[in-house]
Amino acid sequence: MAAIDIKLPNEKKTSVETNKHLSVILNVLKWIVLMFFAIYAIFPILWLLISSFKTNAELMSEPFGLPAVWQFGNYLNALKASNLGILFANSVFISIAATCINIMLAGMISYCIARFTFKGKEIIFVMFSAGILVPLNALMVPYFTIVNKLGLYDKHIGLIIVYTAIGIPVSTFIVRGFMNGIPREVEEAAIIDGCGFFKRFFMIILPLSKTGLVTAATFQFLTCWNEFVYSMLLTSSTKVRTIQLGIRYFTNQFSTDFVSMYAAIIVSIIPSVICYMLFQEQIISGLTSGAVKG
Amino acid sequence: MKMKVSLKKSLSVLAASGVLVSTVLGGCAPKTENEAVSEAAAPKKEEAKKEEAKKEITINFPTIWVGTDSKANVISQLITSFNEENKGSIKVVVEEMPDYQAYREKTKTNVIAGNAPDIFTTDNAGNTEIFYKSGKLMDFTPYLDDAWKGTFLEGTLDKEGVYEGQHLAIPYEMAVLPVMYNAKLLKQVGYDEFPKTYTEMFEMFDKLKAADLIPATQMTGENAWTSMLWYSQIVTSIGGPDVYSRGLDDPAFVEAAKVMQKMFDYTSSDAVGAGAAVPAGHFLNEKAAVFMNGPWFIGRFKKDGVEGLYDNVQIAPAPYFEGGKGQAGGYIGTVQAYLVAAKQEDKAKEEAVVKFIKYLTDPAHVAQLSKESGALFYVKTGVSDDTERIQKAMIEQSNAAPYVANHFQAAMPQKVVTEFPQALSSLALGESTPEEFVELLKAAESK
Repeated sequence: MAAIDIKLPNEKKTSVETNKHLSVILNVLKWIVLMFFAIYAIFPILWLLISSFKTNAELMSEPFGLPAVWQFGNYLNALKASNLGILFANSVFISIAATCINIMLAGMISYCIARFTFKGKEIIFVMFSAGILVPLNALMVPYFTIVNKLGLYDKHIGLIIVYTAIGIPVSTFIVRGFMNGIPREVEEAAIIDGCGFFKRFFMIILPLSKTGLVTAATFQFLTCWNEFVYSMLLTSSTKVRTIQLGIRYFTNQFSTDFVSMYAAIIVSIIPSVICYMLFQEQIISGLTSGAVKG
Repeated sequence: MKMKVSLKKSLSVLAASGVLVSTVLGGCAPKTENEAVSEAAAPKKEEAKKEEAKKEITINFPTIWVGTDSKANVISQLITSFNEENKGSIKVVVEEMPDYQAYREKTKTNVIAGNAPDIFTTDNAGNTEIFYKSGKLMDFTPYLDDAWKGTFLEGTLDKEGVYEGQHLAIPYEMAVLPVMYNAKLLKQVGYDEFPKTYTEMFEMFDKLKAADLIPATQMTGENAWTSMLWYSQIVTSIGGPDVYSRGLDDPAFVEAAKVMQKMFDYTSSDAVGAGAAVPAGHFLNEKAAVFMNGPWFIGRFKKDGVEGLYDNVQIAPAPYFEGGKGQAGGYIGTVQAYLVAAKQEDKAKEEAVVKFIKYLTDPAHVAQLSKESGALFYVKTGVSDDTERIQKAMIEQSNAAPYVANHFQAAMPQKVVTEFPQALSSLALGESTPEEFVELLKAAESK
């Protein structure tokens, strides 16, 4: 088949070429912007990772250089000196427990607020949501007093209850939004089929709110994992303390063993990264689903 | 089908939560009848053991002297030996709190919540007054006999830790804060000793700057520690050791701010916003010639400094300000750590607490602690031939000083201390004049 030679008028040719150039320039610009933000986001973690293999002297003299000898011992020191293994296990246990209980409670609260009409509904919702605005440090004395009076000081359950409670406002806020979006007809059909209150909650509403629950659970898990103040306030022994206290183990009154601390930080961020990798689809869809609503 | 899967998932989540909650709650659930019966039938030996354990007094001691702290090893040894000596009667249980800011926050919350730790430490800034006023601290007055008093430096117990006639805190660790300088770097620009006046010091700084060295380290991040020390030296040199008693209206504060602003012309480019690690890093790497800090830093010259740094470090009193009310050789310093204890209902426990505090303040133990850490204490230990060289010089210079004045952080109200780093940043960046700098501090004070 012979090629057809289409001759474009000169003016049109120039316009196509200009568009081509413009598209290339825009593409390059797009990549520059993307690369800038990628480096901006990745650089601190990369710096932290490299610094965790240096000596303190190297870190101070050449903060941006590579280590002369890679100090893998920093990780051993981090694990040994601060009992990081036990603290890590405590963090896993406390964060998972507090997240499970929090999400169960937030789901129940949200179900009632989102799906039923009753007097004072909005006031109850505002009361729950207002908790988001209260700075956690302001609650140190009351939480300490309650936990101490209940005999839960330096016990896993003490921290779990507090973490569950402090996460309720955010979780309720997120989950309620998702439950509001479930069509009423679905629930009505379930009622016609003979579904009771609990069946509707566990079999219809909870599965349909999965994205919201996972989003809230991720936030809650990260809050528990990164929390420091209450872990410090409500515990006194290694058998209960969490990994955030382990990180601070290398900071004392007058000096800091930065490299061991950085090694401990790298160890501590691993679960957050895994958590995100496992649930990234749900998290992203959870975060963006609200954005396209009219 | 999907419904079934969802149901299964929901049920498994619920079951897992149930197991988790019951496991956790099980740990603190009351004992069942069966458990109580089996306990009652336990051998008498166990009962006797329990009785014995009941008699043992447990002292809770949250402390920062753990982990990588220079005093950690000796403190740990002292506690172990105290517990061994008092086996069956007293047991000191340590709560490790290496992070100092967290420690301050926790002890403050504990005291406010009415649950002060049995023994803890506090410094001379902010919190101590809250503790004194709380009414939750033990009064040591009945226990301060001549024998115990005699182990402390002359007059210390009469003026430190006393509130409304009660001895509520035992001054323990001392902070004296000289100028630390790198003699090798000073020699490079023709100086064998540290200048005596600020005019001479700035002349030397010009030479150091010309030699491409950082003349003196500064910082405005965190609590602006090293710069706060410089400002304290300058303000007491201009206004005299009693300058704080006259308040921020004293012109010395503005004059000192002018000198301080000049100091930032002779420091590193990363000083504004820098935390404590930055000035320390410059000095430890021989990039900066002059540094200001306390005796606890001595160990770091050997541990973290470049090779040979320790041998090059010398100390001197800060320069004096010509025409100022201060004197040559004047030092700044403060109580770095007070030992305080919670008021006890049980007399036996009160005595146990005092026994442990006496143990910690025993001159032999303090000497051991001082030697190991480089820190100075209010307990008489004396200077011997094996006293560390820099520490020895600190003791001698501070003993010979015409006065040891409080530093700014210890002398001013907490609100002013909190504002200081921001105000100093503004001064260093030229956003505030020295007059405006002091106005910022005054505004914080009147809030």
